[in-house]
Amino acid sequence: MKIRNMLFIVIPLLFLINGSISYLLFSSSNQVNTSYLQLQERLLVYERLNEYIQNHIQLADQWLTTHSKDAYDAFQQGSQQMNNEILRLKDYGPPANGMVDALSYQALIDGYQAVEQLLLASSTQNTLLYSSYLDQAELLSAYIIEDSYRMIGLELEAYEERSEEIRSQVAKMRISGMMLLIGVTLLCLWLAYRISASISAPIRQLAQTAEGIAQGNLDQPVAQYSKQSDFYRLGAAFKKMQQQLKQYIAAQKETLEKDKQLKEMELEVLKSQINPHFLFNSLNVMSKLALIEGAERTSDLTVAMANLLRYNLKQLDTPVPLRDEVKHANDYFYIQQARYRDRVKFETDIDEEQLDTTVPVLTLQPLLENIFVHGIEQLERNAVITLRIYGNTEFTWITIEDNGIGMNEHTKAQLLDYEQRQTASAKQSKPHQSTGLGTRNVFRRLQLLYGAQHEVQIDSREGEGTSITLRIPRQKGDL
Amino acid sequence: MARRFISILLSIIVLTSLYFFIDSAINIHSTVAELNDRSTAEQAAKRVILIAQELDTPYWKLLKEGAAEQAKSYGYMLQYVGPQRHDPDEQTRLLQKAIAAKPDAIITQGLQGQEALFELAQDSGIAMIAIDTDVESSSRIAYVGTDNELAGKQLAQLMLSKIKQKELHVGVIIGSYAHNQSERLAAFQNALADQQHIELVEVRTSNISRLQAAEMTVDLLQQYPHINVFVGLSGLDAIGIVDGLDAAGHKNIAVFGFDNLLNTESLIQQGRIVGSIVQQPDIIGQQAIEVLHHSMEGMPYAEQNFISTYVLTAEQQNEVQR
Repeated sequence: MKIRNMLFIVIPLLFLINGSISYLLFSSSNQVNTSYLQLQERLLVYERLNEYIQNHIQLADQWLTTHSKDAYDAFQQGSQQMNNEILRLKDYGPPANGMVDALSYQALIDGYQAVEQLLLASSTQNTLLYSSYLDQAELLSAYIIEDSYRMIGLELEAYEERSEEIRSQVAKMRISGMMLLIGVTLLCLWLAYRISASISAPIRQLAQTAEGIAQGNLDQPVAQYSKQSDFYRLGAAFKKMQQQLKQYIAAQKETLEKDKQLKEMELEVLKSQINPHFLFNSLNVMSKLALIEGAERTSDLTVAMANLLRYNLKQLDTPVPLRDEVKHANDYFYIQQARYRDRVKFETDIDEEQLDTTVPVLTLQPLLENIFVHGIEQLERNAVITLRIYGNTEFTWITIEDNGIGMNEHTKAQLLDYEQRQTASAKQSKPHQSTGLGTRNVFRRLQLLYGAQHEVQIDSREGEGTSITLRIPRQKGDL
Repeated sequence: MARRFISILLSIIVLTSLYFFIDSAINIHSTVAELNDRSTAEQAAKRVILIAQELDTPYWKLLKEGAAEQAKSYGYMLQYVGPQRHDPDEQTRLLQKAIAAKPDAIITQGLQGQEALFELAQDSGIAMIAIDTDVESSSRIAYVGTDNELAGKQLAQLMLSKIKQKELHVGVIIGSYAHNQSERLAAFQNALADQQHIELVEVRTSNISRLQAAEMTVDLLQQYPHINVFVGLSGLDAIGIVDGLDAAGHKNIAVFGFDNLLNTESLIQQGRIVGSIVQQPDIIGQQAIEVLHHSMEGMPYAEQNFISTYVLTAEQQNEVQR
């Protein structure tokens, strides 16, 4: 049941029960009291009537003896008093067990009143007649007094008959009322306990689950709540959230995996585009043929080409000594020089001590390639490419300079933006990549390998040339 | 499970106590309502006052019950009054009072010396019915009572049939010399008048008191040790006689009695009382109202209504039981 409904039903219900207990207790005791008071009142009326009637006879007697106006007034006043009580008695009606007695009683009173009228009407001068009326009145008053007591007895009897029943019912009511109060109190406590538990338990469970999720545990069970519970939606939402989180993470993992596989496949395809053995063999044959034909430069070029190819086919993540990289750069330059001849000059300023450090394979070639393609292609003469390597025990700096057209800020920013996701950078760099490994990829690989220890710096002014400086941590050559 | 159990248990406690609580509240309410329900008396209903000789004797109570039942069927209201102890003066005063209360009818014993009161009642428009005892000179509209002559005769016949001794010396205890009992005695005496072997030793009055009957018995036995049969002519006499015989140590004297009061039946079973002539007061009461009804409705009725008595002996009792 929903907590709100439960409170909405239970609290008014308890109030209703308590209210009705109070009301019934009050009204019952009130009724009993009232009926007792009424009885008392009736008995008092009988008593008073007796008193007044005796008094009345005396007053009549006095009037007879004194003949005074005062006595007459007093007699009339007594009549008035008596009549009031008689009227009141008529209002009360007879008790159920004394209908006929009440009628006889009433007949006696009527008789008395009739005689009283005769007394009032008759003159006291006619003493004889008056006395006979008085005698009659006296006799009737005696009967009335006697019957008053009889009526009192009947009233008490009628009351007693019922009062026994009332007493036992009152006792029963007291016991059951006590039981009821205890029961309702216990029920209240029990419901309070149940309701508070029904609120706090789910909150505790959900909090536990939430803590678990915060700690990365997505597989713990979420408590189920019944559809009527307020916590049903919360629990269901929690569960859905947990599941979606799991799905999302799984999807993310899958994407990463796919990307990786795609990349590997791409590389595989590139590698397999030319059968390396066939290529090497061909180049060897070409080199030997050139030697035989006396074309030494062609032979050297072919050998350099073969070396370049061999080197390029190495695993990308293989670390190589910087020395090899420099040699490879020389080979690459040699091949390029075959094309550019005197237009370009390659200068090196290398600290030999730094050549023992290891760098990822193909670090320098892409940079050189970039210079040839963009930096100095338009230069008619006197292009100079300088490779500087220097450093200390901690870091090695590699600087490649050219005096080409330089690059604008936009291009520079693009190049330096290598920390972006790989897919995006790969796409962007595709158009001007002959080997598929661009300058940015070099930076990127350095970042992946050395993290914060690497540093890339590009100084360039349009029309004056570009200088790219890489800083890598010094590695021991035993790698 | 435990939680549900507690919930159900508490609910049951609350509901049952609530039920009893409300039930008793309703009972109190209705009882008080009954107590307070004081409908005005029906002025139209006929009011009848029945004056008993003695208020709480079984005879009069039975008579009243018979009358009350019949009165109810005619819609009459019956008021039952009478002196607490046997007291003719009080009875007369009650009659005066009843007349002053102006009922439609008064049913009372026809006592001697009450003729004037009967007359007065008649003048006040009150129908007077004499029961149990008749005063023929009174201005009553009818008499309903035991056929005392028959009763006396029955008693004599019962005694003759049961006691086959050569000589019978009979001690008689009579309640009072009220008209009805005198009649009984006279009829009894008449029936035995031609029986030479039977001697009525003496007649004593018990004042309708068991104790006095016992005393009289002891007294008679001392005075006339040859008494061998006792007869009681009013309700409690036979029981008193048995008490007296016990006290005097004469357990083998035959006792005959009147009516079927208190332990009469068991004394008959034990053989202490040979037999009893039983009146039917309930039928007297019933008949009194019946006669009154006839009179009020202008239907014919008998002026004298005798209600027969029956003989109660051990054999008849057994027969009834069978």
